[in-house]
Amino acid sequence: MNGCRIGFDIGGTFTDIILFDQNEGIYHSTKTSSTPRDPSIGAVDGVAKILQQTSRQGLEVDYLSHGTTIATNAVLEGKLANCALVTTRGFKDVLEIGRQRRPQQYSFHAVKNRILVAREFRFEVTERVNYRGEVTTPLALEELCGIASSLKEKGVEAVAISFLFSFLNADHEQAAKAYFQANCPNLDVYLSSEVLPEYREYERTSTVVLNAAVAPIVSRYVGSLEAQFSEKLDIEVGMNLMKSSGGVMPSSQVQSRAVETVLSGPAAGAIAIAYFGGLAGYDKLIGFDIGGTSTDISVVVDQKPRITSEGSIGGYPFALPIVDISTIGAGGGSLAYLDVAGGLHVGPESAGADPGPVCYGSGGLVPTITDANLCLGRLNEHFFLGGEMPVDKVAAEKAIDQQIAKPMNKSLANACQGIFDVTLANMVRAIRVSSIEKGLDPREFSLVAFGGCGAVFTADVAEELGIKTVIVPQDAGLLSAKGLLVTDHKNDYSRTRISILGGTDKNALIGFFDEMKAQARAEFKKDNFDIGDLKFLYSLDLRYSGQAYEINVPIFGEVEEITFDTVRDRFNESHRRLYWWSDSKRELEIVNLRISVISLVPKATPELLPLQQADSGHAIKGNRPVFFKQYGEYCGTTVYDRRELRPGNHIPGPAIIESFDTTVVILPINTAKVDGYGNIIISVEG
Amino acid sequence: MGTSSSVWKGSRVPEIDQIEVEVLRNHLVSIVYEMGAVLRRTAYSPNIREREDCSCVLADTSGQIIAQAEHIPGHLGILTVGIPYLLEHFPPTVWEEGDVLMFNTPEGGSHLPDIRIVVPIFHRGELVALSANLAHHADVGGMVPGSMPSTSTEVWQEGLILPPLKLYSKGELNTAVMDILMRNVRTPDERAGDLNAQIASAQLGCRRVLEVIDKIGINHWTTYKDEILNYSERLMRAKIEEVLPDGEYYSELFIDDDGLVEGRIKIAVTLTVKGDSVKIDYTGTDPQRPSGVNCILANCISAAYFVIKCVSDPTIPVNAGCYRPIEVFCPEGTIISPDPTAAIGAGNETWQRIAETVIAAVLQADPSIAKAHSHGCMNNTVFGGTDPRNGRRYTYYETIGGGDGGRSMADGMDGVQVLGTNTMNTPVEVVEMYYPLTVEEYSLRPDSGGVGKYRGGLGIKRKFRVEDHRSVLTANSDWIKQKPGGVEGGGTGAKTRLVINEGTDKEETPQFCKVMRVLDHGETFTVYSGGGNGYGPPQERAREHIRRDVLDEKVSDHDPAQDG
Repeated sequence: MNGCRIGFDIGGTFTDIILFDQNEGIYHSTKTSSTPRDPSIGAVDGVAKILQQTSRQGLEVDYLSHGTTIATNAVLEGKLANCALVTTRGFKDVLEIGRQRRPQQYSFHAVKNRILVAREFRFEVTERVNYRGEVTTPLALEELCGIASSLKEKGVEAVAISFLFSFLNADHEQAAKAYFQANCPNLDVYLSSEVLPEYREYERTSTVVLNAAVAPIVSRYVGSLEAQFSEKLDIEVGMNLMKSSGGVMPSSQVQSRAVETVLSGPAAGAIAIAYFGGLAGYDKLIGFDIGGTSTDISVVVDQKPRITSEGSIGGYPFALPIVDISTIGAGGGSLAYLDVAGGLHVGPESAGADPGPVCYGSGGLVPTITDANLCLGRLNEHFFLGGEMPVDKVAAEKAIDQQIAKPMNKSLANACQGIFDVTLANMVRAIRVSSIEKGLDPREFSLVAFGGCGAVFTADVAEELGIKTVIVPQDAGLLSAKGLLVTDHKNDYSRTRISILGGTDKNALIGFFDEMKAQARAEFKKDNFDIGDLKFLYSLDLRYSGQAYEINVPIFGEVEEITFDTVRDRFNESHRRLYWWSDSKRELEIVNLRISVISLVPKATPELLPLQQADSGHAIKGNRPVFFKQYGEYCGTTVYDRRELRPGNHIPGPAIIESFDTTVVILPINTAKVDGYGNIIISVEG
Repeated sequence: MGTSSSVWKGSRVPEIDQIEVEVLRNHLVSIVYEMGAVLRRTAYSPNIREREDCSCVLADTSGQIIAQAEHIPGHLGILTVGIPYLLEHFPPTVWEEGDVLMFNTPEGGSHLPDIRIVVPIFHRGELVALSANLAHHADVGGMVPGSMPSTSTEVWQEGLILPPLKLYSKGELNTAVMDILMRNVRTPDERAGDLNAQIASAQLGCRRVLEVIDKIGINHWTTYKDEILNYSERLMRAKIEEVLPDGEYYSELFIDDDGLVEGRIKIAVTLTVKGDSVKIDYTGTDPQRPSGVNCILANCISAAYFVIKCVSDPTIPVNAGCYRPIEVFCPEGTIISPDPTAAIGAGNETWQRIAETVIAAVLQADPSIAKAHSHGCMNNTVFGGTDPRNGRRYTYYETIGGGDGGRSMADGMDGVQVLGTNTMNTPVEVVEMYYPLTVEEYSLRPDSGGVGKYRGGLGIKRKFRVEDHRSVLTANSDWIKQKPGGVEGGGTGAKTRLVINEGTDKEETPQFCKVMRVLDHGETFTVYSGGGNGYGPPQERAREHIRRDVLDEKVSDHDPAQDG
């Protein structure tokens, strides 16, 4: 082993590449421009660049991890594989009817999402399994012949099969798969009972269809990328792919689990804050990633990102476990405007990168959050992209003055602060939804700022929510790529087995878990993992009998040691915390059984540096007026160069810390210090 | 009755800090949604938990709604009427801290299954606001499971009536009330669970509002919450002025029958637009009937609000301010404003008809801002009985979507909930696991959309079979006999079709649009919901759209106008 590990994360504008040498304990990073038409070009360029910068050979790379948006973009842009769906007779329209709701309650002009598989490509076959998993109508295998020829004729490359109650009895789905595999050798076949063996036919069907729709695209991409790495750079090690669940998988699994990559980008960020926050001594964190058009919020408890199984992308549900991230339409480019009734709004419309904020001078006429931050002095007009990008502050001031300040009868500074405050209110509301509404008290958390604009807002957000500590990690702008090097291999297995907890046969339950474990071992073994090292985390989804939403309750230790009393207590406690009531006399119902299977990956752990003197005078690069609400006026504020700050340095507020990738704002009565990992830790005084 | 118009006119922004108002508004919206999450996620009735047939609000002490998380539009007017009713009939002079108030009277805004819970919010001993919700319980007693009979002749047949009362008094449960309630409903355990969820939700709203007031101070609370309402009002007025042309527009539509005797029933609307306000006058509507087809006054208010909000600006924050520019008048004794003894069990179908009639008036003003008529129904379907698998009583309630109307720029949506309802379906696998029923088919209904440049949406077919027991079926629908035509040359969508034992020698088609009967083991009930109407002449339909529909077998080659 050479200990040379590379992670690369492809974003909309830049591809971030991180190389970590296990022997030195040092991160090297670089950026290249993304190449959206064929993202593999930017990726190969970037990896070549970092190998060159660090004078290494491709053969020395023994771990490669990738965060990709290839599946995400395929779904959001509707550029999907030519796929088909086969269902139980009478139910081919379940995918189209969905849950029967119209998209917007109060609009006569809303339109439904494009249906993933057009009706022409949806087929029905005679078969029926009942709610006990018993066959009531045998599968009419002879009908598959006609379907198979239609699929060939229509040039379908992937088919999803979703029969009613297949989560209880998958025989019919398996028989249909065997038929297609025997008769349509070029067709990929995906089963709902394999992708998501859980109840609720629409969500299960949507999940397997999404997998069929992206699998051919993701497989081709991964295959091409690995071939290029091998041919051009001599990298022979297989790639690992980041999943939405906060684990990675070897590229050999990507075909059957392609849908698991659709929300992988933000997941890597959440893993990164969990790991690096944990190293710094913080294990309850709210991650706050502000980009150009949106803000992603994640929650970490006990060094683990919170997981949900109520995911969706672009309005299409997929019910697999994913890192629970809420996204709001507020980012640097969000537009500020007044409505006809005098209300100030910011976003969700965004100027994006083109035309961008007014100050970019590329044709943007409507002021954005970035323009307001520039006028408030929070951002440095001479230091956009480290000074590489000139901006026009006067144009920004003029736009805000004319469009916001004058009509509201406010000073320019107050108008800018108003844009800032409305944005803040949106962000605070989103964090409330992610924490308070899920039974968590944000005051017990630390706030982690990352992404390009995160640290401009975080101190204010923390103050508003009563959060005491803000962390701006080292390499805040590259954090997601770093996350790729601290993510374990993880696969999730689940199945629906509904039963009243009190009447559940414990041995039968253990038997179901054993089946899932055997399935997991087989899958890991196929990819040459040492199955002796696998860690199994068991849990149950439960609810009071009669409810519709479940709470996930972990079983600590081995599943054989499960006691239903402990499960009951834990459920009641969670229910009370989440929903403010519980009733220990009510019957509990088991809904889903879950196992997360983890194979640990050695972590890219940075070196802890000794603390130096508190004085940070050497890092001062200047002074500029910044408007603070607390003072109601502009006041001279010291500006620090982050590269010059050393572990142990203290920075009294008000202050600004600048680096190439992010700007940190420290409010008047707050103080900040640099820890041994280079993180900036701000103490917020309410 | 009518809602009064405010005096504010003009474009100047008042001297209140709009930014702080916006910050508070954001906060209040997050509170009502949090209340909604607690209610929905912990409720027992499938109506609430799977179908989100519930709403949460914060109101001021004069009864004006300040923030509302409504999951279905049909609820817009319920608490708008219900809270002032409560204030009048059970005044705050008798309220105390720790009280939980409850009622379900029709005069208080809705039919009996919608139990309303209100928690008064006291700040330093003074009443400052109300936290409230309503939820559609699966059963509140009466002559049929589900408590939504169509053949009832008086409201007393429809379930237990709870006048405003204290379910909790100073934090103590009023056990007598609870005992009476539990003894009068079919599924008491479920009722208790739903009430727990409602109370937890309303109490949460109370705590959150107190946190807000502690932060901003009671004086700011008062001025800002008033400004939140004024702001919505200004937006609404500006949009009405911009979108709706001045004038008087009359329309009338019909309900097939009252479920007991033949004879269509007229709903009449005169819409008057004048500058930045509108008046909706229901004079000309038929007198009340001795059946559950009647609906209450609150429904004709909310149906009017719903349509005007949709055509003006769907994004205006929902609160009492939105409604100030809308005046509603309805003569007493009509089927949409009956006396308090009237049966109203099937009234939510009537809500849909009122909304379509208001839309018909808007279509005359400017068809491009509205849409062609939809399938126009909820297709309330209730099965009730004893589950032979476990001996427990059950009530299963479903509403079935259909085709929406074509629009000036797009086809009507296929298979969706329309107008006053936007509830989710119950998954087939959930139906079969929890109720002794089989769903044989759930699909789109080809050729049911009205033709047009933009065709109407397709209806839905949902077929149920009763397994191993006798089940009492209630089905409230409409437009099985007649329906209005398309817009600007567009065609009419297929009518609703209800069939019992389809395809067998016992097949029958119900005589009325409201059905109540017992089904035995193996018997089936099939709903074919209607299609939406078309918009614009079919000759102008884009070839690509025609080709797509034929490939998808949504439209067959023959002339679809022949269907329905």
